[in-house]
Amino acid sequence: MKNKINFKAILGILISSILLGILYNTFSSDGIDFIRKEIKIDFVEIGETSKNENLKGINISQTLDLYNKKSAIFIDARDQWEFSDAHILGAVNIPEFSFSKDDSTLSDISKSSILVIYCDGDDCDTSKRLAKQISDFGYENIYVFLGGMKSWIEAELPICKGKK
Amino acid sequence: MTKEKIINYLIALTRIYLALYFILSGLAKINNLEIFTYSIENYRLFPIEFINILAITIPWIEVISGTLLLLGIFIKENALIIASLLMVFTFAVISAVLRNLDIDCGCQGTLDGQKVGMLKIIENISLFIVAILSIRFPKQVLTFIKQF
Repeated sequence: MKNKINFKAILGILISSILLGILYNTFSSDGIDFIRKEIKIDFVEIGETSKNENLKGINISQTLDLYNKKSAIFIDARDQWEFSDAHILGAVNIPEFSFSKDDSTLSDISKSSILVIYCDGDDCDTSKRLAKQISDFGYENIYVFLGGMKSWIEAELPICKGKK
Repeated sequence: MTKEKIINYLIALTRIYLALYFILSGLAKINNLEIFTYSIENYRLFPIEFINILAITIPWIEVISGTLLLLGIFIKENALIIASLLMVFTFAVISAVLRNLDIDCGCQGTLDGQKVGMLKIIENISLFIVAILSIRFPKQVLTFIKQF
């Protein structure tokens, strides 16, 4: 009898924990949204402004165009390990998770520069979040390359390994 | 002290270790909730709509189950909850390794801690074995409150 598992107790513990989590999140100053909102992106032509102040997204051919003209600064929003594994040749790394307003890499970049921010691919949000944060510092020419590293590698475009 | 008593004490010590591990990692995640959402997202296993609610609730399950396990309340039940969590975490880590995702495991609510990989899988399996021991031998040794 003693070795029987009390499933009612398990249910009680789980429900209490979930309720506590929800309550804490509701009243905590560090609370987050219960449902994550998707960051909206408008596909635009280079130079065109976005509607509704959404972020501006570009595809691989537009990205390649900017890359070949050397007219943009490429920013890799992933962490330093993913950056070291492979990144777009010439890109700089600003990991989104540790980004702060005092970021030394960003402070070296002029506010009028064209910035192309990317992460892994279509299904990552890191580049969008970083773009949103950087736009708060007065950078206006920010584009999110939605295909990201995945499509860049698939297209066999120049990449670099290592920290720089 | 008999051999059986020594074994019971050893199992209780592993239970306390498991409980403390889960309490501390749960608290670290609660303290870095936003970062923890990114860790979950990095695994690319769940739709974006579910990520925040998982991040809000999972650490509390860890903390509450860990605390009850530490105090010796519903040992089998809390060990079973923790074993189930460990199974899910291990599955997530294995799937990340198989997909060649080079990401932080997010185990301590950070994005620059331990990476997913064989070491993490072995660590999780060891903790899982400890949880199973507590389910199989839920002895009332080194408990702070008598089980009811």
